Amino acid sequence: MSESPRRLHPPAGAAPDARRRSEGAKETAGAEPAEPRRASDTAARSLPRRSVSERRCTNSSINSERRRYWGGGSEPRTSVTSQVSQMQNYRRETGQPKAGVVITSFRQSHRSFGKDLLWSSTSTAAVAFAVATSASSNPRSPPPTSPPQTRRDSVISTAATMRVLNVLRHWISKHSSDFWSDERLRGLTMDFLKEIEASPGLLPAEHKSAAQLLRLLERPPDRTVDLKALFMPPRVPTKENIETLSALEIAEQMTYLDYQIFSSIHSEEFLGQAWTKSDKAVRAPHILMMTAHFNHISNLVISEILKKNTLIGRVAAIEKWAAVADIARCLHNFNGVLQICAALSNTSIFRLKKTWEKVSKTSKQTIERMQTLTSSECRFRVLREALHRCDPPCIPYLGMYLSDLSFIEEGTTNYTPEGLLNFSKMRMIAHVIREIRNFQHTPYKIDHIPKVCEFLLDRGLVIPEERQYTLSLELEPRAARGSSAGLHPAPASPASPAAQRRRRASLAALAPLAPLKADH
Amino acid sequence: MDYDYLIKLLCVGDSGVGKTSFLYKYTDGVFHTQFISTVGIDFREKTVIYQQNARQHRIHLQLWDTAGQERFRSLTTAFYRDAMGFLLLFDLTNEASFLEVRNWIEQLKTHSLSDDPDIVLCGHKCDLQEKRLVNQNRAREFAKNYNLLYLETSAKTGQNIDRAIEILLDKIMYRMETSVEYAMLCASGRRRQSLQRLQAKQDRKLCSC
Repeated sequence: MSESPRRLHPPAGAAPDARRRSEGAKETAGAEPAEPRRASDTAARSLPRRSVSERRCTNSSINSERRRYWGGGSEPRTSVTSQVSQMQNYRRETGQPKAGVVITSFRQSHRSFGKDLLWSSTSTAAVAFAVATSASSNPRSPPPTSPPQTRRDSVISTAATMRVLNVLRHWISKHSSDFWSDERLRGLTMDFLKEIEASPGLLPAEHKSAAQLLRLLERPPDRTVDLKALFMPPRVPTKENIETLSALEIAEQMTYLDYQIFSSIHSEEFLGQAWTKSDKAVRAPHILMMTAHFNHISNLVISEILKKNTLIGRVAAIEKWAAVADIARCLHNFNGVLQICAALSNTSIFRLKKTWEKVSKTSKQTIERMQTLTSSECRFRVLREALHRCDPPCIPYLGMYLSDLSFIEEGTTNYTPEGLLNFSKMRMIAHVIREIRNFQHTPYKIDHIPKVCEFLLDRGLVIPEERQYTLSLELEPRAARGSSAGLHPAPASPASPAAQRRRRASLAALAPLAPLKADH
Repeated sequence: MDYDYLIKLLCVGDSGVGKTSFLYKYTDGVFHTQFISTVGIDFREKTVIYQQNARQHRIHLQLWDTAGQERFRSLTTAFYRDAMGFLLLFDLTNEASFLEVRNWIEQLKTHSLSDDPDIVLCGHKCDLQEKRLVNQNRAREFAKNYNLLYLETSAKTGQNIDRAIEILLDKIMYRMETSVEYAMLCASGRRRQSLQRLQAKQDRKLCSC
């Protein structure tokens, strides 16, 4: 307990989870210096925010707490209880310090003690916080005028207990999946909380707090959707098709399915470009699922159009999917909008000149609007603006964030030339993940309709990618190809800075090598 | 921003071959720390002066790569149609990425608007000589068969990075110049329609605005 509280390496035999988190600890270690004032600053700043960087702080401090309480054997536990009983005495004397407001109560006690001065004038809230963050260890060199050790200890341990409980509450309520994916972590945390609950010396508020946390850990979260089962392709081929289902049903169930995967993505999956590495299936399973499902739905849309032998049928199919995409847009399911836009701008569909000629003007306008919305121009500028404007629930297009993360990872180094951690890089990564998390937290109020989902998940409806283009050629032979491009503007036409020039850009899409005069 | 031409290039290749670092090097490693929060700033842009027949053109290059999005296949193929030229990268220390080049060419031919798109093949990471698995002659031979230009590049040393883009730009500008001249001959009052017809006939990219 006397050693430095910030440890960079997990103890031998720590859970794999602890090992993983120790990376977070390494990163935050620099932010938590031993210097008291800054330690208190860090603590104060990190509390009100909901951020990933904060999460790292939280994890790392909890980690050191865990090590302190559970890693070091029985000794720390006894010290907790003994201090706790002293604290109780102290509390009785002074009256009322409120749970959680450590600094304030500290100052109040200073004043209220009058002659029997408990604290030297050199004691500050920052010192108390520094001590609190290093849990129950004693200050290295108590000032000469310091009061008897026991009283000081008791205040310190109050601070420590409340702080530990607060950190735990934050971790459990904001990142509960950590506990449900790691039984050992959950068990240890519950043991610890039970111990707090059972220790007679603690305040009722602390008992209550521990009991609340225990309840959270006992009951699995409500939303335990079994993704594997939900996304299992139907056993018997679906009887539904795009004519039998309404556009609203399709759009809502697309959104339902997309959200189920999207909300299950763990923040860790976004770190270190995990989804491109050879162990991606282990490190980023939900990101992979998201992309696989995205491609599946796009291919389904392409297939449902190409399957129609008649021109009228294809036109109807395109118009139906355009309607679905438009509803998805209203539901703020931008991922769904892109799935359909990607399909409509896929070469196999895009080249069907005669079909596009017959598509109604309103549908074409809808599609054009959505293609402007999802254009990758200027790093998805329009889509980003829409995302910043919209209120959750919302499903963003994940690829945009994955690109951002890739550029951050590859464009900057993890360490500065002096060997220090590159904090601005870590903040940028945290910024992206925080934005994603914001959208993950608000669920849709859509009920699962199995028959529609079966249609959406039926692999049997999809024409293999290699076959799509040849089928498209069979439907409308090649001679028409050259001019087909002119029928509707390219989804992501070459960028020109001013909006008025966009018209010309669509002409440029017609002839991609066209010189595009910037100013006329 | 003032420029005469806007040209969009796409960088393709297997994930991990170094597409991002290639483009990153080319754009002089300019990286805005605020770029994440600033909507619409793209660091994959560069304006260059291009000399053509004693005339100077300001060319605004947009360099695209699908970094991080490779797996959204259904979407990325749509990007091909918008690019005017392609940098096709493989990793000299990774044989599989070289074998994939053939598929990439097929993909580009299917999904880009031209049947004969302008492609420069780059054997990347040539600074790692001791780890090299793809022999230079083998790569040259392959490029020759497909009528591609071949360069060996390294983002670490900067070798041939600028050169690769200059060569690609040469090809594009040459094609554009010949197309524009040809278009001038045929196109009169109803330029757009005639150009469309021309394109249908030849499946070549031409237009003048």
